[in-house]
Amino acid sequence: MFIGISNSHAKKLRQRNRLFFRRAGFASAVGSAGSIPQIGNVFWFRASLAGCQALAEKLPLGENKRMRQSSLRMPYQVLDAAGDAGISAEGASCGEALQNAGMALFSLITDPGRVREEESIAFHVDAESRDVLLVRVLNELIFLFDTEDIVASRIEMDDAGACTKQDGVFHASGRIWGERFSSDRHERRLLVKAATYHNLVFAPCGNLWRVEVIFDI
Amino acid sequence: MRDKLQRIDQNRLLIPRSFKPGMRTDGLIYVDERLEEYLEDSSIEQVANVASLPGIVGCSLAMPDVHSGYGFSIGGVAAFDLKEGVISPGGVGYDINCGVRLLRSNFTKDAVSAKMQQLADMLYNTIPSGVGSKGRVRLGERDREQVLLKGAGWAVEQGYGEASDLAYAESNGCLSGADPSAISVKAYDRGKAQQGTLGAGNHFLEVQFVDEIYDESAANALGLFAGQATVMIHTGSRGFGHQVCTDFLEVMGQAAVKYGIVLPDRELACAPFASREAQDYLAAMKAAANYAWANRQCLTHWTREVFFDLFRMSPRDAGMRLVYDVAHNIAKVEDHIVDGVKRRLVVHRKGSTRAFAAGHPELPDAYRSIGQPVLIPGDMGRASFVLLGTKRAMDETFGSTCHGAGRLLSRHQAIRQAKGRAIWRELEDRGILVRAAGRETLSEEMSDAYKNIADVVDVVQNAGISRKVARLRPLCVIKG
Repeated sequence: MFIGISNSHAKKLRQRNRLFFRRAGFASAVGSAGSIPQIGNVFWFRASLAGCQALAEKLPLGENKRMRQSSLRMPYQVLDAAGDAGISAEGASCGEALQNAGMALFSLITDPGRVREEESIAFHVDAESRDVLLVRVLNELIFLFDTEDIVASRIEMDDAGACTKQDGVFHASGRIWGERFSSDRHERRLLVKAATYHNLVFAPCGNLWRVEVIFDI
Repeated sequence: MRDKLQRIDQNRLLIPRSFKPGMRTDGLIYVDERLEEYLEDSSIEQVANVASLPGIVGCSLAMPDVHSGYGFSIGGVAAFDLKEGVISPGGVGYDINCGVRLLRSNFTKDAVSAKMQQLADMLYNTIPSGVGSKGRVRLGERDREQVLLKGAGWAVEQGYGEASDLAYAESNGCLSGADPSAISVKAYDRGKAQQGTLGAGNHFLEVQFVDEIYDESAANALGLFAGQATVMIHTGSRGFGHQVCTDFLEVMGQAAVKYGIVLPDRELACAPFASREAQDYLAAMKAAANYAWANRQCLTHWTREVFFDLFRMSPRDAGMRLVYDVAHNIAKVEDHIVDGVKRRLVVHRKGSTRAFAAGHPELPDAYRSIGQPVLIPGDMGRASFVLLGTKRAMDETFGSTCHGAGRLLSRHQAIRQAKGRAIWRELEDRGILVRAAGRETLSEEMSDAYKNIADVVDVVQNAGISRKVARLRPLCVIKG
């Protein structure tokens, strides 16, 4: 997964050296302290989930807890979109970008941080183009929430087929991990009707794949 | 871009055909100078894009509550010829037959206000609302098709409401020609547990009171009087309709390619009206519209039950008759006079309300002499309006008018502006009780997030496409 650090925090990190990343457990950082990949105002580092957790624990002494929390970000953001809502997400591959876009969608519905990992549902989508694949994946997740009540704490996508056509179509296979939505335990955020093609982005951006989707709310 | 627009008069702005290549007709936006300030470039572009679709008749129209949508703008009206023209799911929207109904009552504002806390709690506990809510109705194999074929009539057959309600709903709460076989398994699955639910976002159930009467005799005909308590319900076809739209946007995307229709925007996906794809969509859209009418009918019944229980009153004494029920996201085949010739057209209203003039055969007998009631919900802090359709609307807008206030702030902007404010308390200080399921709902839906409904209604009144009958103020708001 990716971890994003805001501009101001990244400046502080630049002043330190690669040692910081080793101390923070980032064995596979995409960039070094001197060449951090930037998208918008966020600098992105590749790390395992354990690596991200390690960052929270291993930030240098002197950094207070508030900074630790604010510097930890998920690899997606919610976008402002007139009367509706949008998301942007990144990933090292198409599959990972889809998976992060899926989590971004669930973050519109509820707080994924409060969802327990109790069960999983598999899904599979085919499409003739990558844009259609993205919209179909997200609409499939909306459908699964509406009919199975599932909210996600994690989504796993199989990368095979998402980036390149196989037998003339793109494929996306994945699994939602989470639990059934309960208004007693889960925050009610937005009611998402559908993913739209309005200003849709699903394209490579440097070493990453970038997604932007507006949802009808 | 703006310098190409031409102000025709105080209330109308013309987008000439020369505005952009491909336009087959002019665009016309009903907006005065005050609301023009809020007019987005993207909305103008969308009205112009719709003007480029094949077979469009008259102008591509937008009402004063216009704002940017997907493909079509919200607040848009477009009519197409049945032979040369198209039908587009984007011209209806995801929430097929999102609409509004108004119940009158024999209660006064004071009588209702005396028990408002209890009433608010009972309504909130009775009306399923918010993200993840399920209805009290579960549609089995047989009912899931019957609701699509019969609409509000199905709900009445199940005991939800009275047969007389049907006479006071647009199209009697049911469009004929719905085809259950045009519906996907996914749409059925999504609709199974959502019949009888309010939803979330801008949907609501409000207890209101008649604050001002503008036309005494029309108000009398509608059963309204000053100081009277009323109930307004704003909801649609829920996940069922959303899935129908999603399904057919894909079908229409392929159909547009198949029939060689050049689309300036992918969300304008459409097919020639006479094509198989278009007829399938129309049949499915009608089914979703019927689902929505049944939905509003179920909610009406449970609302009445709450009033009867709380006030220990018989249905007859409570007098909670349906004033009217309107759809504001729909496409309908209608007859209109164009350049002196009667033509059958498919009229798309996306965020626009039908506003037929007096004498139209589709109006209930009781209203035929005054015109069709038009229900315009405002935001939860200000007001809603009851209007009537006019002849000028028939002549200029295919019998259409505005549908609401129209958003001014994005959800994030609204949340930011509401930071540090207790919106519920601000409303309570103004005598409005709110019950909302979502944490951010009140911020997103606060009054400041919307244009002033009075400004919007003034434009349609001044333009002569509707006329004011009554203003309603909220007393209690149930939100998702």
